[in-house]
Amino acid sequence: MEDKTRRKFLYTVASGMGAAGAAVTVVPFVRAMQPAADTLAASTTEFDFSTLTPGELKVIPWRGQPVFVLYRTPEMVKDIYGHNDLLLDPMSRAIPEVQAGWMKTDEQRITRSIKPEYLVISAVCTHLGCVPGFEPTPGQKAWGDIVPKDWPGGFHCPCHGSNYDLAGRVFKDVPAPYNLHALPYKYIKETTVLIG
Amino acid sequence: MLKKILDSRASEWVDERTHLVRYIRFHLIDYPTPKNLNFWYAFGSIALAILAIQIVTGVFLAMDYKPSTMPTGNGYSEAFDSVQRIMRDVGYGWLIRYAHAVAASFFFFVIYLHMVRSMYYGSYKKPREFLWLMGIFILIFMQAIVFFGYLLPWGQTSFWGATVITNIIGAIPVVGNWLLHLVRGGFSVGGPTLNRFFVFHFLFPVLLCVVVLWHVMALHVVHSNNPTGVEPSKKNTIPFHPYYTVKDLFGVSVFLIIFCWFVFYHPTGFGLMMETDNFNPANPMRTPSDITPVWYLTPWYEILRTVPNKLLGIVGMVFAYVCLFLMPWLDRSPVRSARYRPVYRQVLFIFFVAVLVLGYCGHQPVTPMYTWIGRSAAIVYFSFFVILPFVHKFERTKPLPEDV
Repeated sequence: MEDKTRRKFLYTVASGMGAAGAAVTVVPFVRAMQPAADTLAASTTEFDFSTLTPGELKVIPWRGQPVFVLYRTPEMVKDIYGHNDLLLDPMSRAIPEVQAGWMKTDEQRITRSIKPEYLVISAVCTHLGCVPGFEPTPGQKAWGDIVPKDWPGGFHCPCHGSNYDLAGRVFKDVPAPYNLHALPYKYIKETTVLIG
Repeated sequence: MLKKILDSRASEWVDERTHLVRYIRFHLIDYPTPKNLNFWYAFGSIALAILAIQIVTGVFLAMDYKPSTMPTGNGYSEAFDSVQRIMRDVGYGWLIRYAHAVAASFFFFVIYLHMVRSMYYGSYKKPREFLWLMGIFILIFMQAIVFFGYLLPWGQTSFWGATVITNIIGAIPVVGNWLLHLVRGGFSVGGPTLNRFFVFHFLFPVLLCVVVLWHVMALHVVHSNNPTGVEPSKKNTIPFHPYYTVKDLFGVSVFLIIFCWFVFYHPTGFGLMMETDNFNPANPMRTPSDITPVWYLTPWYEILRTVPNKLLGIVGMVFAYVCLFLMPWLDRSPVRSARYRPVYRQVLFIFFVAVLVLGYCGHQPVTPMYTWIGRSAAIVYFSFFVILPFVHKFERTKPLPEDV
């Protein structure tokens, strides 16, 4: 009887190597679809808060994505402390993206800022990436029933109805799973921040 | 005339070398068809006509479109401006673009009616399960193609629609973010995304044509169902040509009249086919206050939106498609047509209403009332598939006819 072991071995090795070689050719194509070097190149953005009036919000680009910069009035800051029980993650601990290196004290975790009056935070809704609208006054009077009755003021996403407070912390029972992402930034002058 | 051409010596010469003539005879002339097909059976050939319209208009649009987000002098982008150029400067560009946009909506309208027909007359059942699977696959393919195409004008709804839908990928556990950046070619929807979506919008229709061809060839293996759901005897079938070639051409003509009325008089389809917000150039810093997808995607979008949890919402939406795929195996009744199935007929009708309600709510702003209505409709949608395997147990079907 003929011994087929050697032939079987050769067949397995040859087809195995062929399949492995074909699989590896996928690598350059996948890499070509990933963000290119120029897209990856990190950039920084400066912003001077003295250009805002108290209570004013601006949306500025950082790495092509929108960022909220908000000059919070003393009432807005006080407001932040009043509704922790309505929030999903009041201390911003759920995932690394909602925290930042500068978050050291509980106060910074709650106001989500280095200086409580100046908020710098990602403007990308953590549900599906829309830019939430700025709806700062409490109650339904100015906004209608798209916000809850006990609305303390904050951000409302027009796409799927997620709500965040004035520190970008997400409310319970909305589609968004996390607080607005915190960003790496530092003060380079009294009122000027460097994001990135 | 046709007979003369097919019987000619030239045809014989070609056929001996490629079998082309016998394919034409088999698929377009001799193909036996039940004699009792009603107007519900016209939508397949109308869909083919629309596919042809989309390919022709699409190729001509691509000659003048530029998939670039490069800012232009007026503060817009090359993509946005090239679409304006097609509308204003290119000869009949406005006609070609309006035809392309209106036909996209009609494509879905016709395909949805085609599906209603299949569900009502039980055309998804043995031996046509594979035909049904390919059909659902074609639907998903079409939805991917319009999604890619919708980004191209680089308007507000283009940009934010693409942002929201690609973000769905990001919710996949573990590999979600990696995949999201792979699809976008960046951290957010931008220049690289537009460029590749243009390529996909061209590539996927080519693949779609292959699947559609396969769908038709598979149909010609298992043959058309008919309104009775009973297999016709040989004496009750008629050849495809001239009976159904003429009937299908009549259907296509009626479609073309309605289609042209929209293209020439209401090219934006009253804001349903082309959304008003998309006449504003894309602004990555501001989401429009009222963002909803085009009407044909709203039922699935509404299922996603009514679930108050990101991952579960996406699971729900995927499951809505999975249920459709499973339909041939969920329905266990030996009778095909709803004509003879009083209970199935009623639950199917409720299901259709639920899909319409989902579609309507998906087009409205998020308020507690619409969320509540949408949620109820989503429950009805899934309930249909839950009770489907049990319908035959308590259903007394009406007596079937001997022949069609």
